[in-house]
Amino acid sequence: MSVSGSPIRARRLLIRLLTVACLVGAGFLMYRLGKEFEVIIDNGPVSVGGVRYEAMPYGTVRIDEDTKGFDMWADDRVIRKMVGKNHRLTVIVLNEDDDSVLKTVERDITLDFNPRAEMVSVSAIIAESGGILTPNPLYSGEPVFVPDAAPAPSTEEGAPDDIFSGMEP
Amino acid sequence: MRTNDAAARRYGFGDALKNFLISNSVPIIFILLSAAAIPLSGFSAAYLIQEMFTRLARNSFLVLSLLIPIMAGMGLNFGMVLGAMAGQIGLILVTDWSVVGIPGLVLASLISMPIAALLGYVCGSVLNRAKGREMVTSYILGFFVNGIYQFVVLYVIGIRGMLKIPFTNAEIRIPVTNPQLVLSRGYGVRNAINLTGLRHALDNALQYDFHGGTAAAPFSINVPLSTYIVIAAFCLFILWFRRTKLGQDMRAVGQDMAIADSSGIAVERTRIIAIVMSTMLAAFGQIIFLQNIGTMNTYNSHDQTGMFSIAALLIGGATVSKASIANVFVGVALFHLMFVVSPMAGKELIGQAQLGEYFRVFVSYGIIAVALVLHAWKRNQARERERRGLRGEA
Repeated sequence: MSVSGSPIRARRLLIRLLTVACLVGAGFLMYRLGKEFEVIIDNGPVSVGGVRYEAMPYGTVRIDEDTKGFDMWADDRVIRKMVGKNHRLTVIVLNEDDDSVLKTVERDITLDFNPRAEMVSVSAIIAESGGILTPNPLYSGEPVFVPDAAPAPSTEEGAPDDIFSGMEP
Repeated sequence: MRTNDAAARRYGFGDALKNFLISNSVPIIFILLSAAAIPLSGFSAAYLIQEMFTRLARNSFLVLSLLIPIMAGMGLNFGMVLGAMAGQIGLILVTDWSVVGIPGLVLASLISMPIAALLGYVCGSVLNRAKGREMVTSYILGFFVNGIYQFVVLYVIGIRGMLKIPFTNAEIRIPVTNPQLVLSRGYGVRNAINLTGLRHALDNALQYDFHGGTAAAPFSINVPLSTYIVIAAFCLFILWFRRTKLGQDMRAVGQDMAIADSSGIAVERTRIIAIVMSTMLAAFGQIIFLQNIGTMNTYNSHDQTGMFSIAALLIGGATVSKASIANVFVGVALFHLMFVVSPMAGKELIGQAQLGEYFRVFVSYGIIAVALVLHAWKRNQARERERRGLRGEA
């Protein structure tokens, strides 16, 4: 009994296209699940929407399920790595003298901003402000290269760049 | 009669023993060498066992990827280095995008798949034009593609573009945004990339710590269970694949291409599929290897992949035409055992660790040469016996 090739070929093509689509979808899913962001958490005085918030004198900040957290004093600025887009920050304001809890604020954040250009403000979180992002004053928009192992030769003004300069062995 | 029967049995056993020793001469030699070197090295049993667990997890996947081309009669696939390069490109991109952990490894594998498939297709097509000389052809092809890889990684990947399309301002560039990955001139990947987010991502997903020893000398052995689960899954895949139609086609092609062609098997297509599969699996194997190491030497990591994997497989008792899963694990264990104990054994014997390393290189690759020569000799002997049989000689 001969079987027509066309429906079989069509079915094979459909299965292959679906497989490729699944793989591409899996790639996007892995990207979303595994993307790591370096977020700057700033505890300095900040103005958000024309309102000024003072720095938290002393407290602890926890990210997601981390029970230990990290301590922050006024004007501290730390970088923390967060995997994925959605996180919960818990800021616990503490009394500097006896470590008693003065206030606890939880805030859900979505990392859909440029983490190099903007910082998360602890002061704004404690004040339960609508916006909690503040510009990073050190961000210039230009990439900052790490020096190579062998220093590149300096080029005189007007001379063509040496394409082999900076090449590592 | 009884005496004759006994003589026949003794002859049978002796013959079987002789065949066993000849067939497994390479692993036996390595076991004897290791048995001599281990006490000299001074390493404790716990340390050696830990090293073996780590190295088996790191290297087994790569060596297992060699089994499919051997099944298809294409010999030892030196072209697996193409897959290693594809895996490394996946890792470069994933590191640039800061995708970490298991999702990062999976994404690197997904990115490497089309690249490895393309490279495997090219390799398979070239090997089809070099039937009977697959090994040397794939070896040279590896060098050729290595040149292309180095060009791409050195001039095409970057924040700034170096190459431009003539008569336009358009840059030929694979964009990378992380300046820590790129040389200070703006293009070209750095020599060494720290895979911080991916380091031990698979190994640490599920691990088991085995504690033992005495109160005076306790020891702890860490077993990366998740990596071994992946390796076990691959072994099961190979066992299943051998029973599928495609697997049987490959075996038929491996035994005799002419008869396979007469039976209606698309020989050239089957051979290409074997190489494509091996290349893709080598890409996954290289990703597993590098996540264990934690650092990627952009221009060197893939260089010795083929040589070491093939060396390990041959040391495990495999031949150019026949290899099994057991050969893989025995070979990896013995090969890497020599790696670990030789420098210290050399230092104890001769006074210099470097000489121990030379000794290891000499013995390891010398044994491979012996294995290849033995294989060629046995094949010639078999052909000669067949010819004598046809001529009716005793």
